[in-house]
Amino acid sequence: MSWRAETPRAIAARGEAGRRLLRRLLDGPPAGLSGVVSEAQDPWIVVWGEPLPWVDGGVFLGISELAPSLYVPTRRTWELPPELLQARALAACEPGDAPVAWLDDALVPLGPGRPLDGQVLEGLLADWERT
Amino acid sequence: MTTPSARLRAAIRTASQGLVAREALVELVVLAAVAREHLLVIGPPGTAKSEAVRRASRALGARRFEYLLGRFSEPSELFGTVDLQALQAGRVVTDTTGMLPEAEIAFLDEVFLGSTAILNTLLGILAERRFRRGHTDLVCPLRVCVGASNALPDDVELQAFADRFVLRVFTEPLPDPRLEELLEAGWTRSSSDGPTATVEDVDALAETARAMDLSSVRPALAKAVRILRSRGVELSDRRAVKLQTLVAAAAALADRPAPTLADLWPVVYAVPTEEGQEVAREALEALLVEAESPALVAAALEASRSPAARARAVAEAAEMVLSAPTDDAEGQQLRLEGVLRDMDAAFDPDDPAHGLREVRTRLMAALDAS
Repeated sequence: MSWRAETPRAIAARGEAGRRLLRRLLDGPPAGLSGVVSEAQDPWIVVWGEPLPWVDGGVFLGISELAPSLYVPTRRTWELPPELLQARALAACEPGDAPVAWLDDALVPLGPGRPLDGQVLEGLLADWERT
Repeated sequence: MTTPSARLRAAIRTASQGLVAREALVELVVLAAVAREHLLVIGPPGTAKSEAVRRASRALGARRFEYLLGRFSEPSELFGTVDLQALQAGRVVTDTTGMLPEAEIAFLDEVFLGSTAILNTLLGILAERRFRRGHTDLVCPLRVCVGASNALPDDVELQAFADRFVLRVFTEPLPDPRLEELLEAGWTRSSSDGPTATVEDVDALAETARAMDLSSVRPALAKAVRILRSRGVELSDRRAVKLQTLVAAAAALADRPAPTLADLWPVVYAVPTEEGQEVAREALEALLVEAESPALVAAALEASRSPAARARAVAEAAEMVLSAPTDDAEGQQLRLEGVLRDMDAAFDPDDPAHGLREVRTRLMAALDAS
């Protein structure tokens, strides 16, 4: 039985879209949102919480009730049961990484994420502009 | 706006305004009215069941009767008191003025708590649209009766009564992410909107539906019933036959000359249990892939979860946000982003198949301007 995590609970972006997301967050009050930037050459920024922002080029992520530690793209249909997919994803991660986001080419640990405030975002944007 | 279906669509939109996550309930009241069937709403108290029915009645300009039944409710509380002058003359006549036998839309909360006397009389009204008591024998103008309860009954006799409600919908309290929306709607909710359609519009569409040729969808309907039964979903022969009425009504409301595969989604609401409806959504996914309705947008989406229904719902939400911007700039930005989020979460913006590119561009332009 195939499934999709239809309800968006997080947004991921990178490249130009990632920059747009950071700027969007700096423009609006980020209260209620948490985020993380992945450690990669072409990093992803993943933001979750309410109200979830929108930017052009962002990838929305949702969860299955059966696998609450795994965020997957809302547009993707999966054949593997959610619990099994989650177990596979977590097996590839370190303790403390959970929950994780399953993106096209990366598993992004969300566990180290922190609440977003103006200072954190300024720092993230500065890092981002350097990449 | 000249056709009955257009007026009914406007009525649905008016009635749904400010109701959070109960749009499908309003739409199902109208579907039931056009199909001449009855609707049972199962869910905890305080989930806006009565408000949804009240709004639907008001938007249709229908005479409404609403009552909360209890174990000690008397038949006269629903049907009217005995006319004492007539009784002196030896005739048992009920004065039905303003009571259920004269209602065009009825809402009966805790419907299964009614006494045997009440339920027996009610059965006649629901099944035959006829009120018989003593010397009173009236044809009732009832278009739809909406019954509500916390749970489906276990008692066999009550189950037989419940079977008269062909359409079933199960409501839950809103999930936490929508609480802000609920609170805002509850504060600003307007209840003064007048009728935008009439019960004559309902009757006109009921006639249209009855005259429809269903031969093109009958094989698909039979297939749906077979699939459901093979998955252990209870669907009596009577319900299977009634499906045709529901599908024809859905087609009439969608302004289609005859039902197509897009109109099969009411099958899900004819499944009598919540678990059965969930199985139906999953088992009929392939059959309902084209399901959608321009009039009953939310109900078609909740039943089928089809891409076509979702595209229709997102497009409608976009038009509402674009056509009625709020004065609060931040609030409007969040509304625009919310629709874009729902759109992008479901559809690839570069895929033209869903037909949302143009409205997406307009949403982005409005967002840039906000």
